[in-house]
Amino acid sequence: MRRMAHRVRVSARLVALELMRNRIAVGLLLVLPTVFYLVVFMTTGDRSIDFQLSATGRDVLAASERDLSMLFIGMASISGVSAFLAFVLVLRPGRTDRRLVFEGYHPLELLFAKMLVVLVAALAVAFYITALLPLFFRPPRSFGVFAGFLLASLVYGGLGMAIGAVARRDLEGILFILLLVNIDAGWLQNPVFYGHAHNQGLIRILPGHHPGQVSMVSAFTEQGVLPEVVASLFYVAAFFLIAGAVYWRKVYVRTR
Amino acid sequence: MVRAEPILMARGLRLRFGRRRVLDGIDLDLFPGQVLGIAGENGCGKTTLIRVLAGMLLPSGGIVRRPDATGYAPQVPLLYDHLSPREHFSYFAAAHDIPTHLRRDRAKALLRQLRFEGWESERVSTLSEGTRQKLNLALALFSDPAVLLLDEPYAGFEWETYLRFWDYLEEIRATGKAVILVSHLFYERSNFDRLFELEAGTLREAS
Repeated sequence: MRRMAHRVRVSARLVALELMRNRIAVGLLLVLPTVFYLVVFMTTGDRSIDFQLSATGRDVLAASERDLSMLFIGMASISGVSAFLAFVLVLRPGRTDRRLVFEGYHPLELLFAKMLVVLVAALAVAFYITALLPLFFRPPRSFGVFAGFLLASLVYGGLGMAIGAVARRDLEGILFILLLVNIDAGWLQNPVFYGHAHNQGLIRILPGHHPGQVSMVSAFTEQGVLPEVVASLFYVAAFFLIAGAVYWRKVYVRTR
Repeated sequence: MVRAEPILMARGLRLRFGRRRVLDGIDLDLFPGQVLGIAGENGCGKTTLIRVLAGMLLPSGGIVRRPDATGYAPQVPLLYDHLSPREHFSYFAAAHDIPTHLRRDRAKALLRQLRFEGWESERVSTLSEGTRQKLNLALALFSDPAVLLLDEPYAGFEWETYLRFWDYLEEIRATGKAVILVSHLFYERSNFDRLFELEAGTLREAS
């Protein structure tokens, strides 16, 4: 057990170092949310917008177009950044990880280390994007907004890991992440769109839905968000499990 | 000195890629203290064979028996771009539970032997192809394994390092360790106890 803990510690430290030295990943984390927030801030006004949330039923809510858009774009950027960071951790080092398994690591040790780093990265991304938000919009229940951001970061982090484990090349994986984030977090989860959508059931099963509800409900209502938190955690667990199973299969080496 | 019991044994290895039969019933014995060379044309299946021997690729038929302490240097260096050689040694030391002081001593000796001292703190992404190849080999040697499986280990080495590499193999051969080395080019036959050619999926001892 102590040996395993030592290996996980060594691996997590080096995985984190690798991630922090990846200029594209860190640059995206710092630049993307800031640019998105600024663009939305400059292109939206203060008029009141009516919208509906699946978590609050048929109630029609109203909020400033800018506040709603800032929150929405925060979710979209957090989803994209977290998925990309997690993807980077799994895809490129995959073959070298397999060499480490040949040398004596258990696949689980490498997997735990990566998951640990994804968790910490998700927390950092959520914290950073939440910290930027008050520059443009101060939601009343900011902890709930942070919780939603963190859950979005974890859901898309798990999804990024799963895509990294399945994809064979950078390009196909990145393209898939871009398209999914764009259609889910960047379009269908927009609450203005949701109320009039023809197929709300489909929107509700997409990965960005429940974390988005946690943030939106916390920001614009007094309602509790426990069911949405639980549903989000279910997605987190499912994506981490899929990522783990595929990663294991990928790095496994028959040692005898 | 050659003993009766092979340290690595392969029997009836078969593997096809589509219609192409890459390995067609290969038998191989490696004894302690032996250095075997496997040559062959580009694309004849040398890398496939060594990957099967290492367990990195499963054959469709046949068995391989090798010790736990087997070192493997792949043809294309498998390294982490954003980590330094020193950090790679930390990774590999943890895999083998090598304590810190021993890790430092071994890393230092390998850096000196393969002539890439001074690069230990640089990131792999900034290293030349030759230096990456040296690190790739050093990592295979790092745990001091009983069997070494080396795939084109000296591609990109300068002549002095090439000579030192053979000096090092001589040293470890004298301690009873065994080596299988795959290359498309062998300069000196005298370096090997046995030399094979891989052709049409079968191994033929070179005359």
